Amino acid sequence: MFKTNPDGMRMEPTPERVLSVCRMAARGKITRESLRDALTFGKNEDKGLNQEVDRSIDVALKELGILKMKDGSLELAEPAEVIASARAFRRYVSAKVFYQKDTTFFMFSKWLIAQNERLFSLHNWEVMAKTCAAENSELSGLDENAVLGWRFWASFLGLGYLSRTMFLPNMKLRLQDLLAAEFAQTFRYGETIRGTDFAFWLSSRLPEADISSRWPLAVSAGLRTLRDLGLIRLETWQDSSRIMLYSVDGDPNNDFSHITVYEEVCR
Amino acid sequence: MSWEQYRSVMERYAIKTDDMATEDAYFIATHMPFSQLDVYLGGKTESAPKHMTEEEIFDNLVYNPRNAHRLIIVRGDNGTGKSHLIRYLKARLENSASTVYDPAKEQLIFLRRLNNSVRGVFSQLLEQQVIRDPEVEEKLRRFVRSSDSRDEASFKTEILFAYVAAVSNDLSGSVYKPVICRDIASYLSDSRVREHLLREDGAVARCYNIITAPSNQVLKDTKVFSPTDFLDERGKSSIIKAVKRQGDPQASDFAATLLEDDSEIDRLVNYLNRFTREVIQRCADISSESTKSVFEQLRRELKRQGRNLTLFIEDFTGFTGIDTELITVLSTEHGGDYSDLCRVTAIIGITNDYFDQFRDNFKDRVTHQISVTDRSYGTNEFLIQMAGRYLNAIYCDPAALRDWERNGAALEDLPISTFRPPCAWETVKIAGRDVTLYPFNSQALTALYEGLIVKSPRAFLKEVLRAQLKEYFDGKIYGDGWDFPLNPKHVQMHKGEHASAIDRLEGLSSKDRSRLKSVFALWADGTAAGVKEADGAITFGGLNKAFLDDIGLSQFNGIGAIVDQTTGESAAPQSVPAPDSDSVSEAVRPAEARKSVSRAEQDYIRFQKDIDAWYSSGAPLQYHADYRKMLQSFICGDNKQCGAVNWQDIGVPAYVAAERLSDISCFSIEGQDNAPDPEKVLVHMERSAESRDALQALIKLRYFKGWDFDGSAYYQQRLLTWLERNKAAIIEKVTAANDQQQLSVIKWCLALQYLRAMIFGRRADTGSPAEAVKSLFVPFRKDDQIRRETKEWNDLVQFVLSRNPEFDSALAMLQKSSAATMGAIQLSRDTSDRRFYRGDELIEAAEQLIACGWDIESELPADIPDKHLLYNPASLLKKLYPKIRSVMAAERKHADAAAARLTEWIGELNQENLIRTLASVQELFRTFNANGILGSSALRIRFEKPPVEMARDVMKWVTVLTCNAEDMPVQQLSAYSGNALNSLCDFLRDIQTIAQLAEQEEARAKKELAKISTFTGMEAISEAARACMEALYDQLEGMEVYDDAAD
Repeated sequence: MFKTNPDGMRMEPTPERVLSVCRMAARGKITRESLRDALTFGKNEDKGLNQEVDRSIDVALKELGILKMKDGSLELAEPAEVIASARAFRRYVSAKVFYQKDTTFFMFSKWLIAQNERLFSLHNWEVMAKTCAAENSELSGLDENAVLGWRFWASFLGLGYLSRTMFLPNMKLRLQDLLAAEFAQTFRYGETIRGTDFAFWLSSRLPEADISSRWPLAVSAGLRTLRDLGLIRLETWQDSSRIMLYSVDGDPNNDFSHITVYEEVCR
Repeated sequence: MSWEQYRSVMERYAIKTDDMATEDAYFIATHMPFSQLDVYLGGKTESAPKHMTEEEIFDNLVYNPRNAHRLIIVRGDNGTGKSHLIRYLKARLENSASTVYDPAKEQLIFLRRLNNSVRGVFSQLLEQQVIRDPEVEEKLRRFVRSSDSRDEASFKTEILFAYVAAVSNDLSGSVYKPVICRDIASYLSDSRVREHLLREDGAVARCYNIITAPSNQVLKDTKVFSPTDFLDERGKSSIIKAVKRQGDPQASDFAATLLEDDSEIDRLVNYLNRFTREVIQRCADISSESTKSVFEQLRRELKRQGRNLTLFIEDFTGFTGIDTELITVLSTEHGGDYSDLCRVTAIIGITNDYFDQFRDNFKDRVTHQISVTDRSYGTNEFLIQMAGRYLNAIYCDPAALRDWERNGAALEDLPISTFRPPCAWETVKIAGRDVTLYPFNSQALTALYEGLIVKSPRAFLKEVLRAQLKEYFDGKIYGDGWDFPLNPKHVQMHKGEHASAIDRLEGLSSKDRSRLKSVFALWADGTAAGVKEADGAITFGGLNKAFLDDIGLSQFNGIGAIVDQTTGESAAPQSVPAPDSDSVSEAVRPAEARKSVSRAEQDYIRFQKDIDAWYSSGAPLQYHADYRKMLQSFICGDNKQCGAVNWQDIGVPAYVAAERLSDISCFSIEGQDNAPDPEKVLVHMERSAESRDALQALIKLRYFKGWDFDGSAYYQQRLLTWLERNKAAIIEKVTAANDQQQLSVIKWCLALQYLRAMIFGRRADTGSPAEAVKSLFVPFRKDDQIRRETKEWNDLVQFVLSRNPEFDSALAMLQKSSAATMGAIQLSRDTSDRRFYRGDELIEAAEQLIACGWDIESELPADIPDKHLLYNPASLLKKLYPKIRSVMAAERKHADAAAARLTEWIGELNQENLIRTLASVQELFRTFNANGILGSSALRIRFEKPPVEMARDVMKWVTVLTCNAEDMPVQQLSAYSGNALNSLCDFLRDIQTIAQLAEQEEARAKKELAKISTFTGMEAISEAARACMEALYDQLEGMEVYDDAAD
C-alpha cells in the first residue's frame, strides 16, 4: 500500500486488518505462521486467505515499520500506544505515509487533491485511475484495483469520504489530526493567528496538498467543516493578507485572513 | 402623502376591506379593460364563441338602438370580474351621449352584488321604485322590515319547518315515494337531527343567510344542504345511527335507508335543496305569481310611458327563490301577444356553478352569454397593468382623482402619483405615461399570482396587492416588526446554496432571513448573487440594494464576493447554470413547470418543495421514507459500495454496523409524519438549516446520479458537516457503547458457545485461548446418544434446544463481528467461513473467560434491553446461568446418592474394594460359563476389562462427581459434561443386575441338585459351586439395598 511507486496498492491490507495484525504481535513475540493461524482460526490451508494476512503483515512490517522481525518472530517496533486506538494508529500512519513522497499512495493522493471539482465528473474508480494514469506519466501503471485499495486508506487517513463509487474530498479529519497533535507545539489554542502564519505552518505538514496559492477543495472543505462544527473560526480582516480558499458559491468564507483554533479540536 | 395615508387610501377607496362598492373615481381609475371575452349566442355553449373586447360588447349588445329583446348573462367563476364588467357597462351606458342613452326613453335599473340576499334584492327593488303594485310593495316592505326585527332563532325554526312541510307535502314521487317523504319529514323532525341542522353554520343557518344576509355581505353560495348536515363533527354517521336506534318508527326507517348506502345521503341532500326556492318564498311570504308580477307590471308601465328597460344585475345569487320567476318574466319578448310589455335589455351576472345548476332555466331563454375566462384576465400583461393602476390610485391624492372623475375621467388625463421609489424601479405605461410598480416588480406580481389557490382578479387584488401592501405600509409606518413580503406558498430561492447561506447569516433575525429569501425567490432571479453595477449601485439577485434597505433589510451585504460589472472581477467563479430540472418552484417559472417532465424530475421537484416547506414553515415531512433510505445508503453504502462512514476502520465491526442499521426505522427525521419508536432510532436528523442542506444534497445526489452538478461542492460540505456533527452520537447508538460502558459482545458470544457445548456434552478444547476460540467456532448440536441421569439436565438441554436460533445468532455474531471485512459493510453478512479475524480481540476475550472459568454472570449488565442485537447474548446468558446452577445442584445430589449405593455394595469406594468386587464378578462369569449358564453377554463383555483398569475408571467418575465445586456451577458443568454421572450409575446398575442374576442361578442350582441327589460323582462339584454361590449371595443379601436393586 505504501510501497515506492509503482505499487499495485492491493485492497486486502485494510487499516482494520493491519491494526489487528499489529495488535496480535503486540501480545508477544509470534511467528508469521502462528500469527496467520491466529487471524484465520484454522483456515490456514486457504492460500488466498494466507496471502491476505501476509500482505497485511507486510504493510505493518515493511511499509509502516510498526512491526519488526527478531529471531524469526514478529514483535512490535513502536510503543504500544500507537495501536491503542484507531485514532492513535491513524495519526501514526499519517505521520509516516505523507512524508514518503515517492510512494504511489502519496503521488495519487496528491494528484487527486489537485483535481478539486473535476473529481465529480470522474464517476467511478476506473475512470479516476485511467484519467490519472493518462495525465501522469509516473503513475501510468495505475489501475482500478490500485485505486480501490487506496480508497480505504485515504478515507481512513481523513483525505475524504466514500460515497458509492466516488470520493468526496474533505480533509476535515486529516486537518483535525494535525491541529490536535501538532498545532499546540507552535501556537496556542483559542488565540487568533494570521492566516499566512497558519498557512506556513500547515504547508510543511500537509505535503499532499498544494496550499501555496488558492487552497484546494479538499483542504478548504475540511476547514469549512471544522468551522461549521465550531472547532475553528475563520475571519477576514480588512487590509490583511488573505488566504484564498477554494471558492464555493454560498459559503460565507471564500477567504480568511485570521484563524482561531479552539482546544475542542482535540476531542 | 404619508405612509398612513397610502394605507388609508388603499383600504378605504382602492381595494376596500369592507366589501362595500368602490366609489366611481377609484372604480374608473383602476378599471382594467377586458380584452378577450367569449360571447355565445343563445343559452347553449356548443358553438364556438366570438371573442370581443368590453367595448365591442357595449357597442353590439348593451347599446340597443333597434330595440331587440336581450337577456344576456355574464358567466364566470367567483372573483373573475363579472360584477366589475357589469358595473363598467352600466357606467359606460350612463356616461354615453344622449343619442346612445336617453333617460327619458330608457329606464336603467342597477342591482348591486353587494346586499344580494333576498332581503337585499327586495330592498334595492324598493329603493329604485321598481315595484308598482302597492300590495306587493307593502308585502316586500313588510318582509324587509320584519327580517330586521325578527328573532333569529324563531325565523330559523320556521325555515326548518318549511322544509319539513315541503317534504311532507311532496306527493310527486319524482325522487322518493310519498310514503318515504313522510319518513323523511319525520327524520328531519327528530330532535337530534333538528338540533344538528339548526347548529351554527348548518343548513338552516345557510338558508337564513340567503334570505336575510346583512347589506354589507356578499353571498357566495346558495346551496343550503350538504352531506355534513347529516354527519357528525368527525364525519361519522353517529346521528343517523342514534335515530335508527331511538327515533320514532318512521324516522328510524329512513335512518336505516341512509345507512344502507353512502350515496343515500347525497340523494337526500340534492332532494332537500330542490325545496329552497319554495321555502324562501314561504318564509318571505311571497308567491311565485306576485314575484312575476313585479317585473311584468314594471314592463307594462314603462311601455305605457313609451320607455324601455335596461336592467343590470351584478349577481343573480340574491334572487334565489324568485330566480325562475324573474327569468321567465325577463325572457318574455315584447311584441305580438306581449305588445303591452316594453323591450328589455337585461345583463345579469351569474357564477358558472349557478349556471350549471339551473342550466335548464336559461338555455332557451337567454339571448347571449358572455363568459369571463382566465384568458380575459390571466395574462401577465393584464395583471401587471392592473397592479400599476391600483398602485397609482393608492399613491394618488384622492382629491385629484375625484376631480378627474368629475371632469369626465378621460384616461389620458388620469392623475399620475408623485410617489418616488428609493431607486430606479420598474414601471408600466398607462395612456403612454409611466406608473411605478413599487414595491412590486413584474416578476413578483406574476409569481404571487401563480401562487394563488384561486386565480382570479379579485383574489389577486385582495391576497396579493392588498395583503402585501398592508405589510409594506405597516413596515414603513412602524419601522420594525417587518412582515413584508409575505410568501404564503413558500416559494424558494432557485439557488439553494444562497438560501442556505442566508440561513447561516449572523446578525439577522430568523424572520428577516426568511424575508430575505422570499424577496430573492419572488422579486429577484432566485439567487443572492451580488453585483456592483457600472453606476456603483449594488444589486443582489438583480435587485437594487436600496430596495432591501427600504424594507428593513439593510443589514444584508451579500454572500461571498460581489462581482464588479465593469471589471468583471469576482472573488467567486460564476457557477454553471443549473439544469432545467433544478427548477425549484412552479410559482417562479410556471411555463417551465408545465412542460413535460420525467418521473425522476417530478420526484426531485416534489422532494425539494417538501424539504423547503419542512424547514421554512415547520411542515411535516411527506417523503421522509425516501430521505431516510437515502440517508441510510449514504451512511452505510450498499451491497457493493462503501458508505461515508468507514465503520471497520474506526473500530466498529462491519457486521454490527450492517445489522444494526439495516432497518430503515432506525433512521428518523424530525417532523416525519409517523413518529418512530425512540428506542429504535440510531440516526436522527433534526430540523435545521444544516439538515435541510444535507437532505438537499441527498436528493441531488439521487437525481443527478452522482456529484456532478452545480453547487455540489457546497452541498457535499454541508452533508459531510452534518455527518461529522452527528457521527459520534450515531456510533454510540450503533455500538450501544460510550466512554463509561463498552459491551463485551464477543466475550458473551464465546461464553454462550462454551456453555452450549458443555450442556450438549460436546468437547471444547480450552487448553489455550487460541484453541478455545477455534473449537468454539462451530455450531454445536445435541448428541442423541448421550443420556443424562437427571430431569434437570434434560430440561436444560431442552431449554437450549428451544433457544437454538438465539445460540446460532450468537455464533453468527461471534464469527461475523470479529471478522475484518474489506469494503462494504454488507459484505460482513456473507455466510462464507473464509474470514480474516481480528484475532487479538477473540484471544483476549478467550483469555479472560478461561481465567474466570467461563462464569461471567457477575459481569453481565444489570439492565438489558429487550430484543437488542448486541445485548441478546447477554440476555441469554442471564437466563442460562441460574439454570446451570440449579441443574448442577440436582446432578450433585444424584451423584452423591449413586456413590452412596455403590458403597453399600463395595464398601468404601476405593481402588482395592473395587478390584476385589470386580474380580469376584469375573469369577462368577467364569463359573457360569463353566456350567453352561447363559447370562447377558453384553454385561459380561462390560466386565471383561482387567479389574484394575475398571476400578480406575470408576474412581475417576467418582472423583469428577464429588469434586468440591458446588459454588462454581460452570466449573461443575464442565466436569459433569462428560457424563460421568451416567457412567457411574450404569456401573451401579450393572452390579445390581449381576447380583440378581446370581440369586436366580443359585435357586435353579439348588433345584437341579435335588433332582440328581443319587448321582454321587457330582456331589463334590456341586458342593464347590454351591459354596461359591452362597458366599456371593451372602454378600449380596447382607446389603440393605438388595431388595431395591432387585426391583
